Amino acid sequence: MKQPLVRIERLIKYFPIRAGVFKRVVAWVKAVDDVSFDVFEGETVGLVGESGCGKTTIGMTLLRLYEPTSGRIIVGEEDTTYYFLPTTKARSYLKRSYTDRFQQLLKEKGSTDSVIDSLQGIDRRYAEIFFGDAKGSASKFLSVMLSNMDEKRKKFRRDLQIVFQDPYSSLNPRLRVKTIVGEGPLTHRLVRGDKEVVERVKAVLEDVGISGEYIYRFPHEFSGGQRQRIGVARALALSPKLIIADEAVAALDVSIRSQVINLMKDLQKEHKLTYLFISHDLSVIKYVSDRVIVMYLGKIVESAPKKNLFDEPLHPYTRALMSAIPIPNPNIKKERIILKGDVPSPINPPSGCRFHTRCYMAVEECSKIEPQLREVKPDHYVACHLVK
Amino acid sequence: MENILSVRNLSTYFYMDEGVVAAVDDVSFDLSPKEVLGIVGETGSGKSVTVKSIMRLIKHPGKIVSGQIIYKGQDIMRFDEKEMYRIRGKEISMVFQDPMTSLNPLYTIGDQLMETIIQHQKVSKEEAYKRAVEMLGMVQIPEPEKRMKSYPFEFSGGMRQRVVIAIALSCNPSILIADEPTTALDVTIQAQILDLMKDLQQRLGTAMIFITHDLGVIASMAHRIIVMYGGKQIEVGSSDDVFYNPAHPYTHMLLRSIPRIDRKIDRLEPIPGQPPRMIDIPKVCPFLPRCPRNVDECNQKIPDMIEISQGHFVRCFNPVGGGN
Repeated sequence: MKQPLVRIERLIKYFPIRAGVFKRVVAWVKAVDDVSFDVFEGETVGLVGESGCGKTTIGMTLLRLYEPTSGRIIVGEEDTTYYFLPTTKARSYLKRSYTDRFQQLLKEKGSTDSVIDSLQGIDRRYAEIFFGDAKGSASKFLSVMLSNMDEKRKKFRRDLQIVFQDPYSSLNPRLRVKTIVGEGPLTHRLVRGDKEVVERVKAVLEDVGISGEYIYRFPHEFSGGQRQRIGVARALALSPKLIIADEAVAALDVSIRSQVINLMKDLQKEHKLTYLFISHDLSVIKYVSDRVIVMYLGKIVESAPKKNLFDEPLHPYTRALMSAIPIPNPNIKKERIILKGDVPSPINPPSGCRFHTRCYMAVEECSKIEPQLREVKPDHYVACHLVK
Repeated sequence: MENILSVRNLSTYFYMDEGVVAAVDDVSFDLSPKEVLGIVGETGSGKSVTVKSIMRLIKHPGKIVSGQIIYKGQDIMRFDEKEMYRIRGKEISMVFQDPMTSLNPLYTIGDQLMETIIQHQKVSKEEAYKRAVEMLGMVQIPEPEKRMKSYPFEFSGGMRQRVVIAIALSCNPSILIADEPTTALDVTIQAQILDLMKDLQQRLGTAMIFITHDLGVIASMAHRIIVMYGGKQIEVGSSDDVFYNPAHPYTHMLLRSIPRIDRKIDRLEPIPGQPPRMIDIPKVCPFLPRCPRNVDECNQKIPDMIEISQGHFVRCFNPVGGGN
């Protein structure tokens, strides 16, 4: 089986709402609630949904700009979930997720080999380390896992980069392009000395279609589209494996948007990049993605290869979303599905299926039982009771 | 049919420290009763400034430098502020993009609705209240009577936009101007609001000027479309003309450059270059630097609007022929 570049397992991110003098937590915003998916090397995964569905939170949590409430984030062959936790928390995470579990399994199965055989993927790899190098000692395993943290973190930061939505607020107005783009490679020691920085920055700028002569300019001297190119160059400068594009073209004018989309596609081919493309715009998602994940109120409702999803959307929400997209063709007659009401609050999401309050097909069980994401056709996953 | 609004040679310039910005340059169009006229263009194309000029809402350093705006036979450009007061909200009303900033957060939406009604119509408070509740019901706000006492923050974005539409329609205006009314909303909410606006427009027979940057939205709403670029009208026609036989190279290329959900596209064909910086632009076609179809004449003067088929005008020396 192909190994995913990034695997997100049962990711949960809740934000506390505090109130009162003592800033007590009075409620939780359930931004992302039990989401799992894989991103494979070289593909573009489109993450689509309306505001408040948790798509941006996933991006930010993946990058560890937010710490996940629970769940695992595996990048390549490493569990990176504990990378940015304080040591004590990292220890308890590793103990909970691995050593305790392995010891428990050993009791049940009797031999280390059968424990290793019963596990897959990253668990198996860590079990091999635990019973092999660490000889079944939890403290040894922990010290292996917690060694070279700086290096691990740096590698993580280099491999995962992000392009933000707003090309105005995402570039520091006081820094020259050379510093903005060159800071990363310099920190990561990919280049040394001013001459190499200049060379590197010029090369990436030319890659994104901006003349290398402009490296001493400030962001305000560029137009919106050019700034977004600089944003892409900054991510690209570190030769990352995965670029998260969070609404990267949403703020651009129509005629400029397609330039940047094409640029990102070209760069992907050239540099063998993987994209997690987050957007609210289904037409953009349709154009850029290989696989599409549709989210609603912190949950995945449908996920499928692009063609399957657009040819045969199965979840009622996906269908409504698609029918709501205005098409630049005045005579097209399509059955519009107009959803009732607004997206409910993620603080108290509806019971059962979270979409049932707006769903035009909902039956009684929808408000009671939460539908699980299941494979209804090859590679086509849907969370809906009514899809057979 | 008699036009309800005629705009003739409207130019609005902004006098900035860096130079003069010709935000709207020589724009003319007519609006007939019950018609929905769409204005489409990118940021800085002058679509918002055009309608703000009609409402006479241009502030320093902007100035309407020339043009006539004839509303029901009268040139409202000659009206003073007091007379404009009567026009705004009563005769011509407006819906803006951001419903949070067009509502006052300190007053209940009932107060804000009644204020408009009392301002423009000689009615008692009780009658205004009745009318306000009726308006809320018309824009499909559930339990309108209860909601009269709510403040804007208690409403979601889509609901707020419904309230704004209710206020705009409360005095039975002849013309409703909607400036990107759904841009700030989510797609499913956008579909609701567009549906509502279309329905109300047909029921009340209000003429409408609908501004957007979204070609998909305009296709579903407008009867006739004006395409603007760099402060100028570059193409005017029925929505069929503009979408199926775009004549201006910009319109033609724009329609090919956008990602679409209804078609399979292997590769987008973007328009090269940047939109014009608007300061002190030369007196040639604003699209010239990006245009692959330019001819010698383009470097000398601005082309006039020419009629290439009935009701289909284009400002280009070398328009695109054939279908898209």
